[in-house]
Amino acid sequence: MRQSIPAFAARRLLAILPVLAGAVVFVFVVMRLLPADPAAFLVTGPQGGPEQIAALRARLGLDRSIPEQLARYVRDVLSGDLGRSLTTGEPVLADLLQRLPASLELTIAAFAVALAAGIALGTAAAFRPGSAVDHACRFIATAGNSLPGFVVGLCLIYVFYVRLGWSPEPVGRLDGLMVPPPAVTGFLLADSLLAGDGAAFRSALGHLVLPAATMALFALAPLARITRAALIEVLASDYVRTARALQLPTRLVVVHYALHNAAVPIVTTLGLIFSYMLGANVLVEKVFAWPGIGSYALEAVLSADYAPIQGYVLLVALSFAAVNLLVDILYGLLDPRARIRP
Amino acid sequence: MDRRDFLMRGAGVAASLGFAAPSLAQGRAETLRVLAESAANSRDPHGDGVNVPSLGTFTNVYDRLVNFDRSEVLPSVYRYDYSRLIGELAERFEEANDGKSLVFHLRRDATFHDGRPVTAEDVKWSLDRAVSLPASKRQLATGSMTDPAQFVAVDRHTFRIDCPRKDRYTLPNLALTQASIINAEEARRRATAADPWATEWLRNNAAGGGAYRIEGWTAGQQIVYGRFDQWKSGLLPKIRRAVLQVVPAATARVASLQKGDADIVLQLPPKDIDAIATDGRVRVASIPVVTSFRFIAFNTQTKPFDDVRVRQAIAYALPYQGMFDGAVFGHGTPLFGGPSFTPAAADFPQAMPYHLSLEKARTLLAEAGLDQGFQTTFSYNAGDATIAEPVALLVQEGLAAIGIKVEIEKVTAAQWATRLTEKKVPFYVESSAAWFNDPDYFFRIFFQGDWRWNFGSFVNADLAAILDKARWETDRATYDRLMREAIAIVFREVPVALLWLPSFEVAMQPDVTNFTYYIHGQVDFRPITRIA
Repeated sequence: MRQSIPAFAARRLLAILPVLAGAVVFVFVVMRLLPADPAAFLVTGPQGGPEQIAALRARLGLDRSIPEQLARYVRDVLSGDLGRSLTTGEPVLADLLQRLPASLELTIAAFAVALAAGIALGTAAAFRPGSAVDHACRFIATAGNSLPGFVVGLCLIYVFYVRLGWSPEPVGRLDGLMVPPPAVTGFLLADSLLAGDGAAFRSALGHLVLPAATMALFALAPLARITRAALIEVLASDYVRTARALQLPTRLVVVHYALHNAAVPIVTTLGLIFSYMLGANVLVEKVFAWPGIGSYALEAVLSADYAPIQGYVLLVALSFAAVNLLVDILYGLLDPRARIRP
Repeated sequence: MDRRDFLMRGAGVAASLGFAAPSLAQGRAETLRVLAESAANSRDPHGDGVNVPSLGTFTNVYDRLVNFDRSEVLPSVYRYDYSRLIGELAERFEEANDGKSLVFHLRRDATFHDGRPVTAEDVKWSLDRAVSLPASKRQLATGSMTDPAQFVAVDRHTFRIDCPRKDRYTLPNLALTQASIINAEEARRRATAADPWATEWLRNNAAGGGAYRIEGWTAGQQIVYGRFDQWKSGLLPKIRRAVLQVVPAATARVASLQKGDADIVLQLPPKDIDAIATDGRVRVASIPVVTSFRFIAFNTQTKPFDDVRVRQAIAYALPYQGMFDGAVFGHGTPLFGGPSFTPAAADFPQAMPYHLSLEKARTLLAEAGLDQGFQTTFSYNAGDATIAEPVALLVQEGLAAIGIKVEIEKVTAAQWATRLTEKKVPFYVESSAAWFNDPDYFFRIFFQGDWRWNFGSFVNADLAAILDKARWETDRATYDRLMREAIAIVFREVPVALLWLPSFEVAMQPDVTNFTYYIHGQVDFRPITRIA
């Protein structure tokens, strides 16, 4: 039986709930099992003795049993309260909502670049296996995979900021003393356009180039490789041979028959890469002082700060689920067989 | 478009943008941009879980009754002078009742940021709060301030503190951020029955009368300070606007400074300081932190470190010079290779009389019955790895020479505090600092008590007796004699092996003058001037 797209989406959406619940409980329990006491971490100076640690544990609710803590946490999460970050002193939900657009903006920019460049490279390589383009594709893929993001980032900073002076200071999303446009979407590019603030738009774009390039290089590699592999397989198939034999225009053969049929594995990879980029761009965020959720979570891990880590995992689980849903829907559109219920 | 092409074009776009954007709203001479590794997490000077950068916020946003005076240590770079206190919110102060009471005469024209005049009632409420909340209470107790009844608002502009006996630590405590003065009326309005001290509100809102107001606060990223033009507790600062921005990567902070985009850069590791020290475009200041120490600690309560000969043997087997050069590139003051087991001076930390001597080390180990050596674990904090990792490797190598097999354990920053608090680490490298310089104060924190800061878990009855006597000793010569005895005990017993005194290091633009170093190592914007 073939489902309609909305019914298909709704069914997938329901399947997400147990995943989220599992993620919340799992992270909560794992954090409590780690032998690190946030209260001991926070009492940083010799003015703090055992009484202060005890008082802090009581305020944080850490003196209660783990099941009781979990019950309270779940109750809070259901009412929209993710707790408070000890590292920043702010509510976790506010922190995450404020930082998520920064991460998304960077990820989307890098993803768009990687997508365009990766598919183009992969396609070119697939059409001429063994050619110079193919070798270049392999070289870039290997380099992108093997060079750590922060090394690439630091090299780019050194060349384009320190030596050439082309890039603005690689710190954050805007010039240090610039007033940001009023937050509507949280995406600085969009907000500055909405506010008609050309200077802010240019500054935001300028700050985005180097970190996005760094991340794109990393994402480019798997994309180019998958595109190449999928296309080579499709190009060797009977229907492409037939299309070519019928002397159909190359453009039609490539875009309509070949790429369309190679799209399923490419879309899968895209979904994976996007989710991965969103969650794992910690180092790029650190190097460029980019105020995203990755560096936020890392900071929290280093200081045994439970609430932000739990909130972060929940958010990343949600976005993984959303991306997977999107990929599934795209599947359904690309290949109607995916919508058949077994 | 291939990658290279993309990068070139991208950078080209960035180039045309970078310079087009206006970056300084005000004259350069009146603004200051500071880059640091992390930012403040609270605006409450008595709050719990407050991190070190917050102390910089408190310094700029709140006033205290008194402040430390300062003295020039490098051309146009100052450090606080612990021995001289000057009025801040108090225009003058004096002792009364044989020194048991301190009387403060408040400035009559001082106001809080909301325009309300500062009164003795505000001072009383703030100090009542400080001795009532767990995070500040213990510190003020070191200056005999424990009970709200000790704080008396005599009249609108006169405030008195009564102590059970004259205490040399009362005044210096009042210069710490824990004794910041809060706008009591504003804070009280936010208090609730469950939270009488308005801790929930003050954590995220400042209510002070200091030289700067918080104009922008993006948690964990950036804090914008604007000058409070009606500030009366000192000369009006020259800097009108100061921005502190978080840039986690030291390399990126250095790049910004060298390009002239940042004015002051904090928390640079010694390697980066060395790399820019020769760069004429920036200025580096290095100030020994005389209340701090880097050391190797033993758990003196567990085998084999409960035997003083084992501790001495290790103190004779450490490759001190190699550690000092390799881990901190010689930045700091050596605390090893001192001249004698009988200290000539009464100050501490001072160099311990141990130096590399494998022969002495082997003899001592043999006397302890361990001539075959032993196995142990040496731990360090992963968050401190830049310095602690090379130290650990050199300890391992050095001790192998006397037959001690050392396994290195790297502990995550989050776990480190827990492990030290639980006293579960037998042998490790660490550093710490106290607020005040007097050796008896330092010893009480670091060489006694059942808490984390007694790093060697050291118990010594003689030392305890000396410290009790020294606590209230007013005669300088007697005090110094007592402290020399105490220091001799530490030299002999080695609860920790001292390595070196760390330096506070800051890099800045050459036109930034009057930088003043305080105990907390944050930037006080008030005295800073820029040569126009």
